[in-house]
Parts: sequence; C-alpha cells; structure tokens
Amino acid sequence: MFLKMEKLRRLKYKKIVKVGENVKIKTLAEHEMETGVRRDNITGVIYPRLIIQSVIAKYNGKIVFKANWFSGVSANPYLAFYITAKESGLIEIEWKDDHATTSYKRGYLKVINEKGNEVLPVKYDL
Amino acid sequence: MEKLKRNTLKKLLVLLVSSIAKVSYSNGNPYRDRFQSYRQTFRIEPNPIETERIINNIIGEKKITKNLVDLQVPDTVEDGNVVPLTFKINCSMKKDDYPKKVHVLALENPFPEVAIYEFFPENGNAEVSFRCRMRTSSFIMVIAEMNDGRIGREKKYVDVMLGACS
Repeated sequence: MFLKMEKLRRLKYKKIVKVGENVKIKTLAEHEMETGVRRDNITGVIYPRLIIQSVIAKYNGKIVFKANWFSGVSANPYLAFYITAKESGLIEIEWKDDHATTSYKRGYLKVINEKGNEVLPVKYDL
Repeated sequence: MEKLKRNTLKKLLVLLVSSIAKVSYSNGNPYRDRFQSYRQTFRIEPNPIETERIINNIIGEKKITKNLVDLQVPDTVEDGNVVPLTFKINCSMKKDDYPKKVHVLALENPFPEVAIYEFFPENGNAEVSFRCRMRTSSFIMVIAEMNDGRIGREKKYVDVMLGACS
C-alpha cells in the first residue's frame, strides 16, 4: 500500500543549487478529487466527496508552506512554490486526505558554496 | 368471422409496431426519461449572498492597498475542469513583510472557496501556481492577508466554454 501510494505522488526540483537561490518545487498527486456534487448517469447515486484537504511542505523538519484545498481544485492537483536554499537537507511533502490517510514524498536538496563545497546543516570542526 | 380475424390481426400489428417504436424512441424526445437531466447534472445553485459573506469575513473593514497581487489567468478556457492559475504577491519576504494567508475564490461556483495558502519567510518568493475548477464563466478573486495587517485584492474575468461541476 505504501509503495503504491509513493508511485502516485511526484516531486521535482533542481537537485544542486547555490546558497540563497530560490528553488521552484513542483509537486503532483494523482488523485481523482470527487466534489460530492456528481451523480451516476444510470443509477443516480451521488459519488461521495473525497478530496485532498491539505498539503504541508517541510524543509529540514521545519514547516515552510501550507495549502488548504476545497472542492474547487482540479483532479490530479499540481502545485508549485518556492523555497530559499540555505543549507542542504531534506524536503518532505505530506498530502492529507478526507479520510485522514496521509502520503509522503521526500527528496534531498544539495546546496553548494561559492567555492564548490557542500553547506551541511550540522556544523562541526575537526 | 374472416373480417373479425383480419381486424384482430391488424390491431396486433399496430400494437407491435407501436411497442417497438416506444422502445426505439425511448432515448428520443417524446418518451424521454423524466429524471434523465436531473441525473446527469446534480447541481446546487450558486449563492451570491454567501460569496459576499465570505469576502466580508476575510476583508472586514480594512483598507485595500493597490498593486499587491499579480494574477495570471487565461482570458478564455476551453475546459472548466482545468483552469491554470498563478499568482504572485509583490513583497520582500523579510521579517514582517510577507503574506500570512492568501485566499483564492471563484465567484459563482456552488462552493466559492477554492484554496487557502499559508506562507512563511522561508520561501523567498511568494508565488504559487496550481489548477482549479470553474462552473461557469465568472470572476476569479485573490485576496492576500499580509502579516502587518494590509490587504491586497485582485479580480479577473475568465470565459469558460465547457463548465465543470464543482
């Protein structure tokens, strides 16, 4: 089930960026957003409402962007937003359903210094 | 006796033909199912009073500052199921100068609220693009609530050829 859900969600961004750059993050969820208004043509039964309610984006464990959706968002919802790159780290995105089933997608963002070295979130000296 | 037989046969023929015609024309005009149109499009009527109430709830009695929101929507859309929409808020995303919430409304939808987006100073560019549904050709409104209490608003008209039921 988890593996199947992972295939239906997509995340895309520029993998290696410089410090202070605005990264465009594009997400897509394959989901048939039922509005709860449609009826079956033959039987006349209403399809029950089932939409993605909220999307939360985290960058290194900190919430960066939130979206609350209603029935007016199209099927297979696409979302694009921006993040400033400070240090390399994890980008997590969480989709929450009407049944409170959540699905995740994550990826690693590599941030490079002016000299070409990677900027790590944990600073240590030898 | 023969006349009676002929008459009965004729009546039977007429009945048969009429019954076949009924079946074959049942999809056509005179014998159409009465509830067919009801089944195909179950719709709740849009309520302009409700939309006004929602907008008043967001804005209240605050002043509206100009040139805060940039909206990019195509003027005419073929399919109302997929209306591409991008908005950008003109502000430097530093300390106090960022939008707290941005509401997207499609007036004349049965449920006019489409989406609410929350921003943080971490995203350096307050720009979002997504796709929405529209029932009929109507206005799309974007209302931005800034962190320091300012409010920006922009409205654009979109022509929709084929409406979606949303």
